[in-house]
Amino acid sequence: MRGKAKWSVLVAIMLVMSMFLAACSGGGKDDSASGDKKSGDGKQELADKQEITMATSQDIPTLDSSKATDATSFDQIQRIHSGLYTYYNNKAVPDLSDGEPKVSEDGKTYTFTIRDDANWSNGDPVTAADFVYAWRRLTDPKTKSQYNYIVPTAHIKNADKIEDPDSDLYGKTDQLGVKAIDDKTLEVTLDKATPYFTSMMAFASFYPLNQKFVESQGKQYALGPDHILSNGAYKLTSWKTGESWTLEKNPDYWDAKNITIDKATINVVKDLSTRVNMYNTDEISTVGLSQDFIDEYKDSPEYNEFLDTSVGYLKLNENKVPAFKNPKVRKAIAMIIDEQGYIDQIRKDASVPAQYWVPKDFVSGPDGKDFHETAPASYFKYDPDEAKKLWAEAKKELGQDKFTWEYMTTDEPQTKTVAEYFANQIEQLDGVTIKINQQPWNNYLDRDTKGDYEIGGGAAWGPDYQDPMTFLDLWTSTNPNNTMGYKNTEYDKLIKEADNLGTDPQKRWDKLVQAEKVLMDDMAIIPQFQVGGAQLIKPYVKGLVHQSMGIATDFRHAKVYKH
Amino acid sequence: MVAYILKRILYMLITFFVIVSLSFFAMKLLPGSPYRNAAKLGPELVAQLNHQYGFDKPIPVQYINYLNKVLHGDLGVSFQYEGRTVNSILASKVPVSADLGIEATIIGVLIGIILGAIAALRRGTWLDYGVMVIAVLGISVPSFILAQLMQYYFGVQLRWLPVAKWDGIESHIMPVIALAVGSVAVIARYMRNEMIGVLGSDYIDMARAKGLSRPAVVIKHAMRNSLVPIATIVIPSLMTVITGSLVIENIFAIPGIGDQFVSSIVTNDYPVIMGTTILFSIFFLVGIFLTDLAYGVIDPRIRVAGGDS
Repeated sequence: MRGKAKWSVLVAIMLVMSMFLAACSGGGKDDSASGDKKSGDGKQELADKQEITMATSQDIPTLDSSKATDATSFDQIQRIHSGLYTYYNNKAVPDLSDGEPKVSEDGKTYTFTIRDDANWSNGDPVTAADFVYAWRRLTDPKTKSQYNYIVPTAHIKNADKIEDPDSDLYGKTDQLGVKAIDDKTLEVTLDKATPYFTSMMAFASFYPLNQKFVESQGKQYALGPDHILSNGAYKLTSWKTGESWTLEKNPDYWDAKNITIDKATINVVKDLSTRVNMYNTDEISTVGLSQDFIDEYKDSPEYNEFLDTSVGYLKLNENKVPAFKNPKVRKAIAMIIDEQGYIDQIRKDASVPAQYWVPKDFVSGPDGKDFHETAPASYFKYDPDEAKKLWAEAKKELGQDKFTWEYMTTDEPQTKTVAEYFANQIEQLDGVTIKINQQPWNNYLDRDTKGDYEIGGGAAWGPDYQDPMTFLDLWTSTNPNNTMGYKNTEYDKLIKEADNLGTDPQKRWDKLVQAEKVLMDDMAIIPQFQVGGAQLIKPYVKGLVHQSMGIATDFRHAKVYKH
Repeated sequence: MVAYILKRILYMLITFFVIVSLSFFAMKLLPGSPYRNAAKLGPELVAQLNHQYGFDKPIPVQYINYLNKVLHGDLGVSFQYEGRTVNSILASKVPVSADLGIEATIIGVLIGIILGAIAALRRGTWLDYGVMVIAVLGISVPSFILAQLMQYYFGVQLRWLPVAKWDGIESHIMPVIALAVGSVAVIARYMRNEMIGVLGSDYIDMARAKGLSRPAVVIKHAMRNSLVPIATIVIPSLMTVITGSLVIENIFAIPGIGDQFVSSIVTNDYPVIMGTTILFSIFFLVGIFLTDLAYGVIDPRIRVAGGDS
C-alpha cells in the first residue's frame, strides 16, 4: 500500500506539472480567457467550425422521455426534444407554447397554444395530441415509468387515481385531465390550482411524443438516431453505446436562428483524470472538477464555479436513538458542525453552508424575491460554545453521559473522508463516540427506507420542480422519506394548507416560509451544505451555461471563437 | 478420447448449471431494487413496480421463469439502460474487451516467451538480470499506474498517442501495453525457469551430440518442451483479460464489458448480472477444457485416455 501511495503522489506531481505547462502554452491567449467582459469588445471572431466536444462519466440510460429519471438522460432529451416551456438561465420560459397560457379564474384550467412553426424532424407538425399521448403514456402503469409520480405532483386531474392500484380509475389514462381542443390548442385541467404548473412544463417528462412514430418503433423506440425524432434544438446523429454520441443542429427548430453550435460530440469517459487529460489536449471543451483537481486549477482563468440546488443533510433517527427526540441534542449537533470548514478542506468547490432547508438562488416568490430574501438567510450558525452549552443541558435532561451513534453513509471512495470529517465534528460533544458504517448505495437506500439507521449522512436532495414544496413536503409525518420519526402537527398543517392555496400565491408563499421556520426550529434534519460545483471551460468557448434547473450544461446559446 | 470429451462436456454442463443457479440466488440476496430512481420512488411505488416485474413472487418461481426465458434465448432487458436487451449490450461490449484482451495476450505471450528464452540462454549475464528486473517491475507496478504514466507522457506531454478512446490502431497501443506488461512478466519468468530445466536435460545434450545446429536445438527441442507449462497459464489468463479489465477500460475510456459488469452489480441490474455471468462462465468452462486438450497436443506424453493408462 505504501508503494501505491508514493506512486500516486508522483502522478499527482505530474498532474500539477501538466497544469503549469497547460497554463504556459495558453499564455498568448490570456486576454480571451478572462471572461465575458473582454469578449464583447468585438475583436474576437467566430470560429469557422461551431463544434464543441464534451465528456460525461456515463452513457445515456435512456432517451425515452417517459422513462428517463437521471440527469444525463434528461439533458440529452432536452437537447433533442422541446416542450411547452424550457429553462434558460434557470428561468422557465415558453418554448413550443406560443406565449403564456390562458389560465382560468380558479387556476385549474390552462389553455396552451402551440407554435405554428413547431415541427418534428420527419416533417409532422407538433400537435396538441402529441402532448396528450405523451402524458397518458407517462401516467399509464403499463409504461412502468419511474417518474410517473411527477404527473400527480403537477396536480393534473385524476393522475393520482390512474396511478393508484386501489382506485376505480387505475390505468384509465383517458380520464387524465389533458385534452386536445384542436391541432394547436391544448387544455389541461388540474385537481387544484398549482402556481408552479408552467415551470413544470419545462420538465422533460412532459414533452410531447409523436404517437405514430413511437408506436411504429415499438421496443426499438429511442434506442438510436434512426429510432427517435427531434423537435428541439438538436438532432441525434450518432450514438455508439458506451462510447459517444453526436448532436447536430436541427435547422427546423423554430428558434434555430439563435442556435450557433452546429455540432456537439459527447464522449463517455468514466475516469476524471482522463477527462482532465483530454481537456488539456484540447479533445474536449469543458470538464467538471472535484476535490484535488480544484486545488490545481483554482487559479486558472478557465476555472468556473457554480452553485446548484441540491442540499446535503443528516437524518437523525428518533426511532432508533431516543436521545435524538430531544431538540437540544439535535441543535447541539447542528451547531457543532463547521460546515464552512468542510467545504474549504474537503469539497473545495463552490458549495456553501446550508443553514436552511430550501436552497437559496433556487426559486423566487410571487413578489419576485428569492425565497431566502423573505425567509431568514440562516436559521442557525456554527457556534461550538453554544452547542456545548446546549449539549450539557441535554445530557442533564437525558441523565446519560456516554453515547455511541452509528453514522451510516455510502461506500464511494470520497465518502469515507466526508463521514470522518462530520464524525469528528460531532464527537466534539463531550461523551459522544461515532462509528462510521459505509454501505453500498442500494443497501444504503434500503436501510434508509426501512428506517434501519441511527444517523443517515450519505444523501443529498435535489428538486423535482422549481418550488419550495419539492423540499418541504419531504418531512411531513406521512411522507415515505420521513423515516426518522419526525412529527410536528403544525408542520403537517402548514404544508397541507399551502398545498391548497394555489389561488393565493402570496398567502401560500407565507405558509411555506413559516413551514421552513418550524422545520428548522425543530431541527428535524441537519442541513449541511448546498451543493456547488466547478468546471474548466476553454477560453474560446463562450456562453456555455451551467443550470441547476433544465439542461445542466447548456450550450444552446454558446459560441466558439477563433483560437 | 471421445468418451473422455463427452464426459468432460457433461461435467461442464453440470458446472454451468450450478454456477448459474448459485449466481441467481446470490444476486437475489442483494438488498435494494434495480430501479434507477429508487431514491425518490418511495416504498409504495417500488412495491407496484416489483409487482409489475414479477419481483414479488417467491424467488424459486422467479428462478424457474428466468431459466425458461434463458432456454428460449431471451436474456431480458437492462434496467440501467432502459429498453436495451442484454443480448445487445453483450454483443456491443464483449467484442471490444475481447479485442483488447486478445491483443494484450498475444503481445504479452510473445514478448514473455522471447524474453524468458533469452534470459535462460544467457543465464547469469546482464541480459538475464535485465529481463528479470523487467519481470519484477511488471508484476509489482500496478497496471493502472503504468496506464496513467503512459497516458500523461505519451498522450498529454508528447502528444504522440491519443489520451483515451478506442478509435483506430494508435489508440490501442497504450491500453494493450498496460494490460500486457503483467503477462510479459509472468510468462518470462515461467519460460526462463522451464528453459533452464530443459536445457540441462539429457535429450538436449543428445541433440547437440547428434550435431544439430544450435537454433534447431533451441527452437525444436528446448522451446517446445518449455511451452507445456505456459499453455496452462495462457488460456486462463486470456479468459481473465477478455472478460474485461475494469481499470484499464476506465482509464482509457474503452467501451468494454468490465465496467458494465461491475456497475450492473452495484445497480442491481438483474438481467445484465445474469447475462454477463452466463457468458463469462461459458468462456471459462470452455477455456479450461481447451487447456486440458492443449496439453495433449503440445506434449504427446500427456494422454487424455481417462484411466486407461
